[in-house]
Amino acid sequence: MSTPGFEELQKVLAKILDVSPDEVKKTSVAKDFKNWDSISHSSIVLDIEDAFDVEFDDEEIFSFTDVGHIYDTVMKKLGAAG
Amino acid sequence: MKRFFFMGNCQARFAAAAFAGGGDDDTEIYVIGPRFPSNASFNSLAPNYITRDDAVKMKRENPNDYCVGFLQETPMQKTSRIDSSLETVFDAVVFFPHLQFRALWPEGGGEGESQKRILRRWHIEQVSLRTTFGRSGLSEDFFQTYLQRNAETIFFHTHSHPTGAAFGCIWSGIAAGAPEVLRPQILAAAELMGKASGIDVNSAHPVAAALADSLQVNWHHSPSYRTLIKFGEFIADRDKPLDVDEEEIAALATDPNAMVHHFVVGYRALKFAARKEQSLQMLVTGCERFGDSVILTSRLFREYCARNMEEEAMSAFEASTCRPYISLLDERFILRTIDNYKKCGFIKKMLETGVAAANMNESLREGLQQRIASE
Repeated sequence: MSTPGFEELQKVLAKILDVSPDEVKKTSVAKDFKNWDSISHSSIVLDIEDAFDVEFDDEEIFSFTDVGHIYDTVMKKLGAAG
Repeated sequence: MKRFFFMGNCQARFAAAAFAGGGDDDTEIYVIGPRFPSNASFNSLAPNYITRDDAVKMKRENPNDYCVGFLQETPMQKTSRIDSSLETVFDAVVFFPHLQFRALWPEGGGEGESQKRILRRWHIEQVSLRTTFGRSGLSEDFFQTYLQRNAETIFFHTHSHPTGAAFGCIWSGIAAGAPEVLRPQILAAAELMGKASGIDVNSAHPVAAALADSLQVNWHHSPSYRTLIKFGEFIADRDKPLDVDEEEIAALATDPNAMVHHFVVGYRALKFAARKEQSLQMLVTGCERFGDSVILTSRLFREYCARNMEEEAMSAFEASTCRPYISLLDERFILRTIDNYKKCGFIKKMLETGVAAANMNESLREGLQQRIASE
């Protein structure tokens, strides 16, 4: 069963990480992907913000432990906004 | 005996090379990790490349040696700051920050990048830098100084290849907070790095003026910087006369912003400068200022001089105080860089840069030209 919003997050990450969406799981971490490093992280954050029309707080930007954490943070922001 | 172990990316390797180039007989310099395609050396000295196991074994066999870990901080680092396998190796640890300026060289060259996105990207990068500066023991005041200098001076050739100026700035700051026993060596390395061109000047390419203006980067307006870009347009034809006058050569020699594409322009500038004694002196001044980036071209210059110049002129060059740093170029590196540029839509500029670099090497030049023809 799909989780609302997660497929979109998968697509955003898959595009910038140059992998298939299926490879992006909630348990995935940066080191699972060749293209996810300190340099690409700013682009990843920007693309997620653009896709979901949210803005991460400064302390959140480098605090994500895994994709699930990003997803939860985005959903929380959308919930708060909605 | 002291042993310094560096861990990190190409920036760590460059710093390690500067420490090796310091030539302290009582210190051995190591990089824990593989060699990269382009490796720096200073004063013809380079670090040793070893594995974690090598480092552990070295400490076990020489327990009285003073071993220092120089570890690069990145914003992505979540685990223990010292690799557990190395905990027994280091008697002291010095942290230094990973540097980047992706906002000025974003993927795709920033085409279609909105003002909002440009500024947001730079904000995110500042969060990253502030985090790693803090973890490296650098103060908020130092961070603000760094940002100011980053706007006024060329601190990067590309998004993560800092110039010597950036390295010199950072390592001077690191020295201030380092254990006293290490400070003189760190300052000496910082000075060497500050005089060098930085990492892979051959991969430098012009910034997008709109991005630079948005980020309030001032140096890209420098006439010399733009002159260098103009030079870049000449390089497809190696033998085409270089249409510059002596004032422009003088600008190259004296403007600290005239670093980017200096490598590209170097060969032609050298050929031009070599025509006249006065120009040669300007060139020597340039060598002293630019140091490492010129030394690569200086080898060609020596060959050129040997065929075309008077003994006296050659002596003037020999007497210059160029830092003997050598940036190694190989075909794999250049071709890989071209691939990256192609992805970013910078293929034309990269090809120009690549051809210029390849002008140093006939066979490489031919290989590249074939590659360009197939693009």
